[in-house]
Amino acid sequence: MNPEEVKRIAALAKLNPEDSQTQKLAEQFAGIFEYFEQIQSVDTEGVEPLVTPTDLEGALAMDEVSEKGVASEELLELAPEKQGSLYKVPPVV
Amino acid sequence: MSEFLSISNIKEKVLNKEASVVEVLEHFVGEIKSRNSSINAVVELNESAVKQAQEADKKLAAGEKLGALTGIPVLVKDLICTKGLKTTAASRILENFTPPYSATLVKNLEAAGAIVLGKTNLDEFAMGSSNENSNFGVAKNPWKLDCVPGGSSGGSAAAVAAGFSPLAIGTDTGGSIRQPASFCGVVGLKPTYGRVSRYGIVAFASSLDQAGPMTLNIADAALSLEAMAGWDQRDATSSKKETESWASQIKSSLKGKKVGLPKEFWGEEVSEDVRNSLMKLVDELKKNGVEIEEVSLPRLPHSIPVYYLINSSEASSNLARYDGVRYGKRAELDPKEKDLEKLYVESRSAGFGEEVQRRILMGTYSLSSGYYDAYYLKACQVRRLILNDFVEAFKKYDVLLSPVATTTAFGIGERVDNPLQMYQNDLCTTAVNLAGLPAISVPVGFDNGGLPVGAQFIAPHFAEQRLFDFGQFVEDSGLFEREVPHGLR
Repeated sequence: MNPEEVKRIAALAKLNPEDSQTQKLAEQFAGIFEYFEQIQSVDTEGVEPLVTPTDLEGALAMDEVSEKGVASEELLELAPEKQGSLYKVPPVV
Repeated sequence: MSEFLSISNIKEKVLNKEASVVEVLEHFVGEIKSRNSSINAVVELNESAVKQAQEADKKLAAGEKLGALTGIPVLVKDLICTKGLKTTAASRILENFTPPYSATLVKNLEAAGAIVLGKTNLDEFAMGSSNENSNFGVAKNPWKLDCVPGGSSGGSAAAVAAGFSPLAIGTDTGGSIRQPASFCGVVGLKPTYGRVSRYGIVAFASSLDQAGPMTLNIADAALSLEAMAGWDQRDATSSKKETESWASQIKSSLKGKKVGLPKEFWGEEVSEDVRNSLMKLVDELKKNGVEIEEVSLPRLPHSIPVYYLINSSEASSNLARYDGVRYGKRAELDPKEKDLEKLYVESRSAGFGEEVQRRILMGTYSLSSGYYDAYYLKACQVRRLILNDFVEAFKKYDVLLSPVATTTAFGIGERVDNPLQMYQNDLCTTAVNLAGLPAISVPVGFDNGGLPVGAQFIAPHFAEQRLFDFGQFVEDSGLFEREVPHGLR
């Protein structure tokens, strides 16, 4: 991986590492992903990917409100900037 | 009061009226106030704890029916939401975040009578194995103050080892309860995935994260799990399996049981001191009628790459929520340069620390177009093969035994510049999370420098009882005699 690639990935992740960091990250990632390459040697032909480790027997719930959640006013209190009952952000148009 | 009060010691004292709940609480607050400055394990105290202790005393005096943890102080990793008490994940981006609700596990502990004493230090967003990536600064190992306590639940482990609380809650995504427990000489349990609700835990890698107790002994860990566990409709991955009375069913007679030693966890990376301590335990087990043999789980050597690919992928997705809009830190922008994209980028870049940004970038890369199949998808396939290896081994063995970490606690600053070396330290713990299994870290001795060594037992899904039984055997064997950590003398 090179510094340009790190910048491309950082843009996708909405991060902006400093130039001095980009070089260091590129070197670290090169080493880390080279080490990760070992998994390519494992035969996984026909193996179903495992995305969560146990059966999700509790996953389905009735579509009804069974417990009161946190009031929206309380959640809005946490916002760095708000206006009325809305979150405030810089203009987008 | 003696320095190491366990949960059962406290219950006895309170029930026999030798001490009130308020006195117990004051004892621990006093310990924290006098010694936390050298350990940096506790990052915030709960001011309303005294009021809760007074209420518990009133209930006791009135002869009301009591919960299993009435009056027991608990320290909570600062990754777990506590209503009205700051929860920062040791990150700048959440440094002023006070949640308007408590995690289900905290509510469960409080329903059993426990009192939240305060919050503990950790690696930022639980990403780390040394507690060095923290906005609060590094926590210290009570046994040797220039060594790390381990991580990410380093503050919780150090706090219990230092006698700041009989119980601290940690979370374990790839060893974050077990490894610091091992480094600090306390018991640390990572329950089966789904046993404890994740609702209200700041998400790191959702298919791996699981919270559990860190305590001075096995019975306390069992009792605490009973209080924490249970199905929660707010966590779709929580299990409907019944919570059992683990503490009352502990049996330390293990005659006829079978233990496998996964040879992939006993390789040359394991230090001589760690190996020697573990071999003494193996001898003790054999003497007591336990059958022990080496077993191979051939895919285990791949668990570190698989673990780091999956955890970084999930983290990059989970941490997308920190955008400086709804909560958390927002970057101050020059009014002339105000736009939404810049707000996201600047807030995130200023708010996340170095390791967190590294994981987000690794995960974004693994999930990005052109790499998804080779990294994330491939890792998930190997993950299934790792689980299959365990399932196969448990057809023959009751539990598997290994070191928790390849070494004892290392020096502060020793490994910070080499992330890959830091990741490889997690050899024996990460596979357990990939497979969703329960595992426990139990102190089993000391190395030549006087630092604690931990043994790890791994059991099949939902077989926590076996971990408590084997853990009790270790405790009763006397291989580890608890003493005041050297750093505090």
